[in-house]
Amino acid sequence: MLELLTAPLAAAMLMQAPALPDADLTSSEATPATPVFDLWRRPELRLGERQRVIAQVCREVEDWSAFLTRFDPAAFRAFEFWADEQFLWVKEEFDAPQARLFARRGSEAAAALSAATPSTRLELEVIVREMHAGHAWIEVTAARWSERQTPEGTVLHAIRALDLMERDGWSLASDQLDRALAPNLPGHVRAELLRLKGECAAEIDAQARD
Amino acid sequence: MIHLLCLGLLALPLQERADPEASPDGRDEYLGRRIARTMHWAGAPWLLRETREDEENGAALREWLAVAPGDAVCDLGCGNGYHTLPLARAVGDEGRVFAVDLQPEMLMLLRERAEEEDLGNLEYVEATVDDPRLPEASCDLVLLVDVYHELSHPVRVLDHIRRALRPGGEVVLVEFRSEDRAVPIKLRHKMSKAQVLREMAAGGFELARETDDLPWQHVMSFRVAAPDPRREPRVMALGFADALSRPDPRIVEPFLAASVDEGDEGRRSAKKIAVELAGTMRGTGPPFPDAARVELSAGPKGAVLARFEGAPGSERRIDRSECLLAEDDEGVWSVEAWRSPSSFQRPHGARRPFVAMHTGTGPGSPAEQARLTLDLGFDGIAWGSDRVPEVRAATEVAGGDLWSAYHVLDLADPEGTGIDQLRAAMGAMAGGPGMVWLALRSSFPRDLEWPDEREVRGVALALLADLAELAEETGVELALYPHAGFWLETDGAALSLAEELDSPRVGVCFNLCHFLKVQDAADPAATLRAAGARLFAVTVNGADLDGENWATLIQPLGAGDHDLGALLRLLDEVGFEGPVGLQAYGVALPATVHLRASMGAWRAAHGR
Repeated sequence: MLELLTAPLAAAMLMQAPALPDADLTSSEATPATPVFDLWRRPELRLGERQRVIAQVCREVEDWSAFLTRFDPAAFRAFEFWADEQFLWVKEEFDAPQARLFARRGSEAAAALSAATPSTRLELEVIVREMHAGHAWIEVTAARWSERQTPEGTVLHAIRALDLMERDGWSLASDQLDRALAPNLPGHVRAELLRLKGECAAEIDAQARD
Repeated sequence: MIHLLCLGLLALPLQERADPEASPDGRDEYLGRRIARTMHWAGAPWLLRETREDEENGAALREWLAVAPGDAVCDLGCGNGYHTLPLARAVGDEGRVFAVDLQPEMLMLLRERAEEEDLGNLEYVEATVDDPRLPEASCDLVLLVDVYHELSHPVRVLDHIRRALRPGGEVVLVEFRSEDRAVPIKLRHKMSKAQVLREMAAGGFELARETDDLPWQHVMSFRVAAPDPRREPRVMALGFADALSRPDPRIVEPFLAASVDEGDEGRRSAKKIAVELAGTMRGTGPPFPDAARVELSAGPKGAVLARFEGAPGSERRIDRSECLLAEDDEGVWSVEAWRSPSSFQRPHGARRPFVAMHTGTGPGSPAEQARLTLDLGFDGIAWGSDRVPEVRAATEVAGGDLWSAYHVLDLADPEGTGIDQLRAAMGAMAGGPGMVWLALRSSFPRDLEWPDEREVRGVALALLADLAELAEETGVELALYPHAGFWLETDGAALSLAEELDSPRVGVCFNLCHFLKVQDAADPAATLRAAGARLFAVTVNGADLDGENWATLIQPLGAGDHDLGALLRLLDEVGFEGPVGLQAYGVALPATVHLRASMGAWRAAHGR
């Protein structure tokens, strides 16, 4: 019933820059984003503050209870997000989008979210509007595509790579990771894929020594 | 209109099911409660055990019942007469006690005891499982001690009880407290307050009075309620507010939905929420049903929204608290969400809404002004009575609320001073927290003998009575706004008008700057204490206590020698939970600068 209660894992999900009340939303790629574990853990401390976060669109939520908040389905649309730190080739993370955010119907933000396909990486301007019934009710007031995306192809190649690694197909896995790494990826995504590639390389070396 | 909508929703026919009470076996379960089996008569000696008086304090119960000589009382499920005989003595020869039990053996045991005492005012009635066999309109009191939870046909039995009660009669349930694990009784033989209220509401009864003074049992007295499809949510809302006022999580919990989804992280128990709620409410002056009106309207997804309103003259301000109730497939009403002004968290740290008055938010469009105020941490904006739909929409889009519409009416010319605009504004504010701040002036010529002051007051009262009706229809409150130089100039005059109107929708607004301008005393304590629950709104600003012009009487908050902290403590003392407006008339600073400085002072005054 209270489907929005925040989960601890969600703390790791969004990235932010310091509150900037009047700022237009501009690319945060040049400005290192700061992970905000406490946006979810202690959202009440950021009530009313404009935050900048990066997240990956998961899906639009069709139905929810607004309880005594203003976030009525007639006035708002709701979207679930994966956090930027969630690697979608890991099944447990893919299955667990952590954040539900709201955008006012008819707003540019709602249109932008609606137009985004799943896993699109967005820079969002959000405000913690209220705390109610154990939830943080957070509105998206602006959204734009991030310059760096993690395309579906990268996710698929990474999934294949993980599968091959499970079956000791280290060389083939490394090939898949090369393909996954081809696009202009977000830094932390690239770092994780390179880490996996390093694992493959180590195993290949070990096998060569044996 | 909202009422009608609600009525319509609640009047929807329930899903038809076979009536379990048509069978002699009756129910195993009722509204989520497992029904206990009746105690066999062979256990009758246990009913007269030596420790029972210590455990149940029957004497205290009977004293609370206040049965008088001549009363007609029913002891339903009387057993061998633990309460029956004292009741028979209390009603005397002129009174009558119906001793009702399912088991004739119990009645025989009782008769033996009654004959020993030579009591001749008892009538022994052998009941059936679904009928206590009481004559119509025969009883002033029907008492069920540790009995109701064993009724296999509770709906039918309550129906018979309703018919057996005389006008004004009461049915009293005494049940072991399921909320208290220390009570050494099997869980199935206990009931929670929430469950008792739930079932009695479904049976057509409303709580009349109760006591918590018995060691192990709830004692709850009910009277027959007028037919009303909204009865069950209203009873549950009042019961929940009462439970919060205790505040004991064990009592709060049964009012809540059985469990609460916590998404992928598992289930979050109602118990945990009850602890949070009770903790939130502790010491904050929660709503209290004795002084409360409950207004119901349709909520989201078929739920019912209950709004609490204070009764005139009540010591506690309980209005603006809200409760969302929903009925599940089994007909069980539970509380889904609750909000009170005192528990609502605001960005600036105060529990009262802090609102920027439009005397200091411009220039700019309503949308620009709304966004500015919300970005600076205000809860919304206080505007005039013009452009209300536009301003309300803009404020809500910015994430806040339109908290008031200020209007000046001329008693000599209401039409010429926009009473139609005011009415339209009230309509446009319906459903939101906004109220009207109403200033009254009079342009009646002073050099004429007519009208005299008394007649002007009569004009004002008639006008306000008319607006109070509209306030009732729209749910929008009216706060009379004393204004220096106007006909309605002092807080005392405003309060006097509000008291004479005696409408729960009409109160007063305390304006610091006008108070300082008009009153001799600089301390508003007496004024605010006198207003009490009729204090609907307050406006503040920085000020010099001995200021004489608006430039010194209205400054950015924190400027001047007026003590904001002392005023806030006073508002705490009188239990004020309404909106506080930031007055900015004539402040010669850009809006951003003034609002930011004032918000800083407000936060500092609240320890932020």
